[in-house]
Amino acid sequence: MEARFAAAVLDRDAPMPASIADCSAPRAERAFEVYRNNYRVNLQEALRVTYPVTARLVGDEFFAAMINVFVTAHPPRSPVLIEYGGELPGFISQFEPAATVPYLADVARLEAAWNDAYHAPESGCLLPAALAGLTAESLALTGAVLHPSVQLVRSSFPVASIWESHRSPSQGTALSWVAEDALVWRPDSEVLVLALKPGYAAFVMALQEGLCVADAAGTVSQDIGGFDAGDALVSLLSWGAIASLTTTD
Amino acid sequence: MQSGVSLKAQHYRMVLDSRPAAGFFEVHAENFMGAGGPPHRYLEAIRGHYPLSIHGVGLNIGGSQPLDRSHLQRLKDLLDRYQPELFSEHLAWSSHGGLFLNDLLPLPYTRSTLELVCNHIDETQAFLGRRMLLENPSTYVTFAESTLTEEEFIGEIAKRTGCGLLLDINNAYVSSVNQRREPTQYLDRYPLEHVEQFHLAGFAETRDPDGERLLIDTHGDQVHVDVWQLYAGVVSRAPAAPTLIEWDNDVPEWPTLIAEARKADAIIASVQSPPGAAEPARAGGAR
Repeated sequence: MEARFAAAVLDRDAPMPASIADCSAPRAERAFEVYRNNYRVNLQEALRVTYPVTARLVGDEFFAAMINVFVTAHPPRSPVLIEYGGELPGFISQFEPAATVPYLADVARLEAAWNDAYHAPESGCLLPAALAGLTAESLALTGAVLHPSVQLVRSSFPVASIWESHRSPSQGTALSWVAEDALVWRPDSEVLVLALKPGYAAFVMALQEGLCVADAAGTVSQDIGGFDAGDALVSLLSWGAIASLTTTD
Repeated sequence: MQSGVSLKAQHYRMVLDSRPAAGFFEVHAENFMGAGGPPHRYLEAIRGHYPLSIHGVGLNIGGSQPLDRSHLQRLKDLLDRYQPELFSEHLAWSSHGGLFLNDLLPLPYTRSTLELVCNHIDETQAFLGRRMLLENPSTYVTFAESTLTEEEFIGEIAKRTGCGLLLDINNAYVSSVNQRREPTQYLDRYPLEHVEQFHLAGFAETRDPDGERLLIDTHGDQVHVDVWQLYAGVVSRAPAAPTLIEWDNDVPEWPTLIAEARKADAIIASVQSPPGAAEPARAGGAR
């Protein structure tokens, strides 16, 4: 019974289970539609909560239609719906009808990162004073454990600016059309989003992989002028993006 | 205890800042299964000032497949952390074949499903180390193979497992109307002696192809006048138990929400007359 019931909820064209009382009556057909509709509408609503700007960028109707296709391809596997929909950005990047909004998948990636940061474990963070007393040599050999909420979204579009300017329906400021790397994290009670200066994203990724400051600085492209690993580390500390420092010598 | 209301994110700040009078708050367990962040911060702070009820919507107690141990563990962690006064789940299924259908789906009421549900409740209560309350679902279809009524099925579960019952009067009304039964018939036969919590909520009304009422449990509106009337009848003869106003969609401003809880309080006060005061008009049934 359950298997047939589930199949008929998931697929509108699948017949209702024959074990439903009076299943040939028009009323039963209409009543069963409630289950089919609940499934899709409730998931649309859940994803609208996680991806509000993505939804706003394409409009309610397009978003609902897109989520319908997404839900069929990626039905939820866990009752914990606050974690559902992480595959949506990847899905959007392959979703032909959304190709006219080329930055949509990256905005969705930023919103997925926002959701992850929102629910990330609690952790304290260090202040820049933690660097006091470190010599240049020991600083170079220091590694950093990032705050568990830290997420990076690298984009060839101004992803953080687009997201920021569409957070409320009335906004919509002029954007400068440049690539942006967004840092998304929750140092305390609120999730923050910041467009990083050139070089920072590579540096943060290298720290995340466990490299020390000197080695992480080495991963930053030589083409980026004016990148200073010490300044970057102080900035990350002042933003509350670093949970602890490690020595790697 | 005064009646309580669903705790929704849009009211977190106000509840903490101004601590409005409310009997208790109820949250959906699954919304607090993230590792950290604002949901836990708010719940922890609010829980410090109010009694709490945790209401699960994904345990799949009515499902034919084994209970998901990882979900039970998440539930246990949450209950151990917040120590709610009440914990409840549904007589329904929601997962099958590894997929979560995100709804409270109906099951046939037979001797074999009774056995299955009782085993799941025994397992849940043993795993969690506490009793649970079981809620009657809103249903839109029934099964030809059912040999027990829902109220018989639920009564049997309470007797066998020792679990308490959460009677959702709106669900009883929605299901009865959808099955073209008299709601009073359901409630007259329902095992009220096991009830430890009431739920009230609003529904949406549609019509079937014959033009007859088909009600949808939306938790998105005020409690219907018929449901209030049934509630008054039930609380006049049931043991005292806390009442919750559920409101999960189109959540209103706080005054509208809490006014519903006040209305429940007023009904309870009117049926629980002081000792010696006769109130024959209220002593009867639901109507």
